[in-house]
Amino acid sequence: MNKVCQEVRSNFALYEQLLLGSKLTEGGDIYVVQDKPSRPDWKEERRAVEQLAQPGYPSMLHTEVKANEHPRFKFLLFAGSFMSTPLANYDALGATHRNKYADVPLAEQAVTTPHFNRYDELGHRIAYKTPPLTDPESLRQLSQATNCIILFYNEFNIRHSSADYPAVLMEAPAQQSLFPQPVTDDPLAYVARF
Amino acid sequence: MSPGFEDLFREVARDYAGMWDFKFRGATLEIVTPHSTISDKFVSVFLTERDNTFIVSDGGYLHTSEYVENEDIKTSKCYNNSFNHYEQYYKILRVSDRNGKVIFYTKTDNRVLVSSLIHDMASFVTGVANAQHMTLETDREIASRLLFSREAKSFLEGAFPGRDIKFNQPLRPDDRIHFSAGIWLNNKVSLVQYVTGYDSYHFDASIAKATMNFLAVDGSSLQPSVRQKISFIDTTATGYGTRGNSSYSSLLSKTSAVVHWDERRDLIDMIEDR
Repeated sequence: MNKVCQEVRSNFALYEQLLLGSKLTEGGDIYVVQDKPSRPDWKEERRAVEQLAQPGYPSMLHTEVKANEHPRFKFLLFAGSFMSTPLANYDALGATHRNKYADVPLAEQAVTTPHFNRYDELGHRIAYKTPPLTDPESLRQLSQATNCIILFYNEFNIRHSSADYPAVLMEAPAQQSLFPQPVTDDPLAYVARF
Repeated sequence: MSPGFEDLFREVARDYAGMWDFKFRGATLEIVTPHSTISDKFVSVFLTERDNTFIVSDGGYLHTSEYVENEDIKTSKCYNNSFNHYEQYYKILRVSDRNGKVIFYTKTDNRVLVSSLIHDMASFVTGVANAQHMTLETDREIASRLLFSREAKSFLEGAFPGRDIKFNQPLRPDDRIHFSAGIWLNNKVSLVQYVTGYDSYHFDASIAKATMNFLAVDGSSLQPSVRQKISFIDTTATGYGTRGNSSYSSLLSKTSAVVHWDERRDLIDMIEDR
């Protein structure tokens, strides 16, 4: 709520190291099948992220997918011992963020999804787009979480141990259906009648 | 008046008009409006057409807390009260979809009125989304409650190492009645409810809530497992006042054992004894 994050503001150098320093994940592909406790309409997967330069700050990658709206997903990077809110995140779909700070003209304040969020040196949480997020052709590719995680890994300097990047899958291997339910980003798709 | 003001007005109007944006979402058009919330989000409204009728909706974004940043602390909100006012003023309808998502909408079969409905829906969403962030309590009241709950939590964790302590222990799964803590040993639980409050009004309300919570144990599925019911009184709270001076406290002591924070070792003896 336009609040300043004091952890970031008072130690921005460490924040940037945790955000942009070399990081490593291990394990297989990401199966997003657990219910998210606080929001039962979302599924999630959590895995450890090793901070190679800052081993004292064990980090986590959360992958969240909205059930029945698979194009709706988020990646969140946490370093719990540094700050309780995410260091940064990616939102594939959802409300448009407002970068409302003193010297930003109105026309430049709106950042639609998909976008990244991170903090600036004053501790403001800002939204921003990288070039692929404004290009229609790459946006089509990035609407799949499994393609998009590459973008997130590259943006925040994360490597994966076994393959280049983990795939992001919505069902555990044993439960994958031959006839998956069609998914849509239409928020009104499941309304029978108004 | 400065002669440049008319030009300035045109710039303002142009900037404002330039805020509108849209996205195709299946059979629905998402319209990003220039209305924004105190959680730094621009409000989206959703336009679709069914049976020759235009439907303008919030897309379910209010129900799914789209405009709420991060996980909010649990506290009473102005939300319910203001929601009713907005809902009536803008004549908002609601429908649930197959997955239980609630969608707020208005509709018209007159194309000329669509702009008006979009203005109404955007104003409705802005008002309600902002109310979701406004607490009935002041920051000081919330801070004093959270402070005690943090101190009590670390005391309990230190006092009962190795025990299974469930903070926010529900009376039964998914019940809205929660106890501050449930301290478990061999399938038996000691229920602890914090009593605190910034002023005498909130302190009395906290006593009343503890009394009711403990009364609700009787006859519940949890009752056979309950070993003790203990109210844990925040003697540092500004609402604490003089000990035992209200009828509320005598009611409380009839439904539970009472332990004061400044004599908190008693809690350890009480739970260890049994």
